[in-house]
Amino acid sequence: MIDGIQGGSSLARAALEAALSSQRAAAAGIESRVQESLGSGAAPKADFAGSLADSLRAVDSEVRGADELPLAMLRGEIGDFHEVAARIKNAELTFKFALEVRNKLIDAYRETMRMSV
Amino acid sequence: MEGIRRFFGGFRAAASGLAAERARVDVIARNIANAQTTSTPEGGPYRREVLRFAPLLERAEDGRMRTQGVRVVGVERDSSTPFERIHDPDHPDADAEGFVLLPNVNTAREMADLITAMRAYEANASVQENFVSMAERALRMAQ
Amino acid sequence: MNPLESPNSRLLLSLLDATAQRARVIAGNVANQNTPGYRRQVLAFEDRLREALARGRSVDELAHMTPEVGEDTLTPARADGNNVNLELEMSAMRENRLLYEMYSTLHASRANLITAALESR
Repeated sequence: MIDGIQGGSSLARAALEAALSSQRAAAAGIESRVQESLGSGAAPKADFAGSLADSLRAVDSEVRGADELPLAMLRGEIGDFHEVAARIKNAELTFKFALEVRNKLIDAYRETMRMSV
Repeated sequence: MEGIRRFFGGFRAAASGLAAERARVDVIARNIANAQTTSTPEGGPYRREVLRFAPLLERAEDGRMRTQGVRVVGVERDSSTPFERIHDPDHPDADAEGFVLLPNVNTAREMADLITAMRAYEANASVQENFVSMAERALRMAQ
Repeated sequence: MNPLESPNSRLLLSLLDATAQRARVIAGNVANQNTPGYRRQVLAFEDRLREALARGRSVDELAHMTPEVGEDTLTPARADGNNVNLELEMSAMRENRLLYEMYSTLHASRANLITAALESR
């Protein structure tokens, strides 16, 4: 028999609230992760093209990964419905994350250009 | 299970249950229909039929055997329940002493088995509904 | 390594996997409710996680644990050797379905929070 959650929406709701409050803290960490991905401080002009190319490549590989989900399914690399859904969502979030990194890089570049005038 | 088959392991286990219980209902119906059959081509009265079930096993990725449902091993004749012997000289199949051998079918017992089989059939159908709901909920995670 | 993943998110996926597998185990029991000699099977995961947590294991270690499928030899069998109780099995199926719904909800809400954090200016 299943121990653990014994049904009852009040117990499920309490568990959800506890988990959500810890995840609000995690969401605040996203901002710091974007910063982490950008490395330390503003990138020198010579590296900018390289960094931008890297982030665009990351975006491209995520889209391709999501495209290849049907193949992964046929090859037996995916086990269940929730895994398909998690991979789709993950591809979407990683795409948005990479986009955000790209935007921050462009912002940093513009800032650097503005300052050197 | 490989590939997309693993997604439907639960559905298929329930489907095997549906098929097995349906086969049992067919056998029970045959028994009830022949409850009065005193002469058969093989000679003698009709002998009750029984279905034999066994777990459907498959080897999983870790090498261990996993239950993936149920299978019908085969149909057997019930040789443990004796024929009923009644005295009825007017019966067309009566012997020299006026005795007739009746099939070893107990209609009340067949009806009880029928109810068990139908409950099991309904339960397996419920299990399939459960997997549909779980899959739908899982796919909503992607939205 | 995906910057959006964490030991917690991997644990959640583990829980989803285990719950889906438990549903298959219950389906096997229901299919074999009339099989002579069949002993019902159970899948243990949340209990094992709780024990590991109590022994001080990290979330990352928990995320790498796998569920255990075993035979229930304690529940007494009927005359035909089968110990599947249909009502208990269907009840277990419903409970398990609620667990699955809760874990999926947690996964979706985490994704929504990340999206909100990424799209805020």
